[in-house]
Amino acid sequence: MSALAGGEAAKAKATSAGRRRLPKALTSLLPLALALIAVGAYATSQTDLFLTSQNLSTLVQQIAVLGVLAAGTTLLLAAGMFDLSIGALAALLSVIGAKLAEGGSGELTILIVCLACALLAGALTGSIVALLRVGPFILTLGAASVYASLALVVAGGRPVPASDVFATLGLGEWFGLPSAGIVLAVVLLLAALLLRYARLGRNAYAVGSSEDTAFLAGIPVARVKIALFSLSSLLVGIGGVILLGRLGAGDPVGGAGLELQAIAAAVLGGASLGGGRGSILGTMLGVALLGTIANALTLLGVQAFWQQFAYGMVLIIAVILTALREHGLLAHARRTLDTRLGRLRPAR
Amino acid sequence: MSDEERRNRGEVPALELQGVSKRYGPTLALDDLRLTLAAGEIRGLVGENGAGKSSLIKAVAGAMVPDVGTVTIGGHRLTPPTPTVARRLGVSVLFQERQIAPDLSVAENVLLGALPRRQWGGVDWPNAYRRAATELERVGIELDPRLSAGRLTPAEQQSIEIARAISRDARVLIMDEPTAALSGTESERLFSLLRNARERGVAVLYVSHHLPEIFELVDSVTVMRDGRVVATQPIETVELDRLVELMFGRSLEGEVAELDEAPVDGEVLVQADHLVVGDVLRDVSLDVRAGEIVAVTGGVGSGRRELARCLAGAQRPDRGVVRVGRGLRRVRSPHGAARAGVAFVPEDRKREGVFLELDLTENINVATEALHRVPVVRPRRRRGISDRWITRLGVRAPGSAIPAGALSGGNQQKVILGRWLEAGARVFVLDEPTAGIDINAKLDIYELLKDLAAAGAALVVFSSDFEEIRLLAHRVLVLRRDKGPTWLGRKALSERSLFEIGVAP
Ligand SMILES: Nc1ncnc2c1ncn2[C@@H]1O[C@H](COP(=O)(O)OP(=O)(O)OP(=O)(O)O)[C@@H](O)[C@H]1O
Ligand SMILES: [Mg+2]
Repeated sequence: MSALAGGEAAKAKATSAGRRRLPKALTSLLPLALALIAVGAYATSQTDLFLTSQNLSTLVQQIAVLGVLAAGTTLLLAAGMFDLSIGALAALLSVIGAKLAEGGSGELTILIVCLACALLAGALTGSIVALLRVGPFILTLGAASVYASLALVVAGGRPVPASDVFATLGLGEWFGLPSAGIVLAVVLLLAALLLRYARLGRNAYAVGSSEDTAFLAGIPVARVKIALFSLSSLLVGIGGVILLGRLGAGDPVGGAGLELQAIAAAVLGGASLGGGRGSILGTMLGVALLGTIANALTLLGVQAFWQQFAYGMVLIIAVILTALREHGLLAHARRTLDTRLGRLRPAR
Repeated sequence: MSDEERRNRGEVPALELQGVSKRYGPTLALDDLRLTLAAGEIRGLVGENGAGKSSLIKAVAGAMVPDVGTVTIGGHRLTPPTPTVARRLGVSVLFQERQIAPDLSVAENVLLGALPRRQWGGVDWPNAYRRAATELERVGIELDPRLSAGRLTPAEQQSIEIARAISRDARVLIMDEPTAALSGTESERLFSLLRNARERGVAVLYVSHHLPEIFELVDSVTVMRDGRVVATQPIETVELDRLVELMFGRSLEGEVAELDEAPVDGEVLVQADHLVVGDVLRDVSLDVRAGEIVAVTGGVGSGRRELARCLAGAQRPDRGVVRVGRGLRRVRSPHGAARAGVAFVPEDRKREGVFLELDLTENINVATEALHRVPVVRPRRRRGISDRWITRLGVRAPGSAIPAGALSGGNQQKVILGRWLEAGARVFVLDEPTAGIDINAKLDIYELLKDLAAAGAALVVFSSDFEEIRLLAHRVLVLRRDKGPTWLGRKALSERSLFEIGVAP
């Protein structure tokens, strides 16, 4: 049929565009990677303590909980959702774990109980969001408050000591590597595979891009949302257990602010609150950047109060750069140049 | 002579573009474009999908900043190129994509940015409602100005936008495919409003893929191709064939073939029984057999959209049942409908049809993957699938890796069709399937739909395009706001019979 002729030209162009694709995904993360290297380099130049295997292990342990939570947050953000209760939930689970340890339960029991509670919480939140069409912002804000309060009640207002449970997971090593880091790596790998290769992951991006379109294209939107909330919470369960091991106690306020840091890390890595975007690789870099900043500030003896300041500035600069790249002066200058050059080229 | 007088005497063009270029990644949407438009002229703007018509309009409206070139409105340069400045210079635009704030009232949407104020800055609501109602009446529609706009049908929303564009006392009035969602009567009303505007010395730029409209309405026509103007001529001096040749760079071969007779013994694939939705859809029943194409038509508020959504499972009827597919399974959700082999192409493409940020690979594979039980996808394979549909349907795109939002409207529509063809649907519910599609692609799509029917699919085409209905439909269901539904056979299908029951102009 005559009109299909345009397809040939499109196809010829398609291959060249296809080849350019991967580097583009990487170049969008380049500024973040450079920032990470810059912070690392600066810290190295200022103190010998930074670039030691000892400190790097510590760094990995420090970011493990945030990393696991941020992976879950990336899944949710892909679908245009988020969960503000994950920090409080992680703390609550660590308190429950510590209480169980106090009562003589073994690590396996504690792990199972924590994961089960987490899954239940996630499924519940997800169902309310998906079936009753409640916006996740207020709902999870409310849930955060409930969990935080429960954690304080259960713990009796003070950290519940549990020095031996999950100590290896929180602070020790497996095969000569920090064990929390190994867990983090496995979680990140699985989450990345899920987002890229699993139907659920692709559906998450679709729902995040346009829920109406996803619904009409036959995607079971409610099921997708419930699954994502459940998965994210399951990761919070893992995070809570690592937290318990790291602190050697169930700290009812130990997870404070983690939810916002997780969102910040994901957004640094290219996710957007509007949904449809984000990647685990990006989130991982975001987490690493935040963690490295905190670690370096500590080593350099900067007052801990400045840490929030640094986080905030990083985030602000990142969103400004993104905006400039997408529709600001930088983009305009580049296009103008392209067009001027394009006109000098021989006929297309 | 003052500038003002020269302007009024038509010596200064109402609109002038000089050397305007705009590049999006690999595509040059506008390529050294030049165009002049005089006051008191209705200019048609035509060109195939992706020719750059909407990009031109965005440049004039200040909605997009060209890379190079100047836009001059009534002798004043559009600097800085922002929507506010364009408005102040007298540009009023109805964009191709719907611009409705769904949570605001009808009145606020009509008077967007120009609500009447009281002395201390408060809104003068009684006045606002009155004015909105008057403006809506002018475009021929009765709507409660207090309703929230998000709950209206696409046609009603379109009327709101027309009222808004017309009410803004413009010197340059631009309409990008305003009739896509309108029926004949409503279109006629719009044309007379545009002619009135011309009498008042307004310069009108009118974009449409519906060429009969162009011949009916405009004084002169500009043809765009690949971001350039290829011709501008008085309308009396061009013939349809010549216009088409200018648009596509070649003439279109052949007419659409005669429709085959509908098979009488096909399996029933769609069965809607006594559907009732609120007071818009009152007791409509519908059976569609394999191999059959049924068209549904009706004006604003006739329940057309509701019927389409019920068939696709996107909406539950208040009463009645929809069953589809082999074994006539009951439809409860779009997911369930899709499983039973139903494809749904909604009318509002940008909001409900495509994933604007996602690439074509995602857009095309999404339905197939939503249905299959396999939990993993294979990137290379799905990429191959989307590349194949892009080629087969002639989507103008530099590959599968670009986001659907970067395609022109017509090409987006092809992507949606590709999505459902890949999913192997047997029942197609298509709401205005060729709205915004150039005639070349339209003919392709007609052929495609007929082939589908010939291969045993059942099609329900919701359309307000009479020509489309005549070419495609075996039977027509006419819905009307106040009276019951009427069926027309293929034989009875003449322009006259549609006119008699009050749908066509
Ligand atoms: N925001 C964007 N990003 C990337 N490419 C774009 C963008 N907007 C338009 N384009 C490209 O520019 C070209 C011109 O698009 P435009 O929307 O102006 O076409 P059109 O003539 O209005 O087509 P249609 O008749 O389908 O509406 C197309 O190739 C389109 O893919
Ligand atoms: Mg357009």
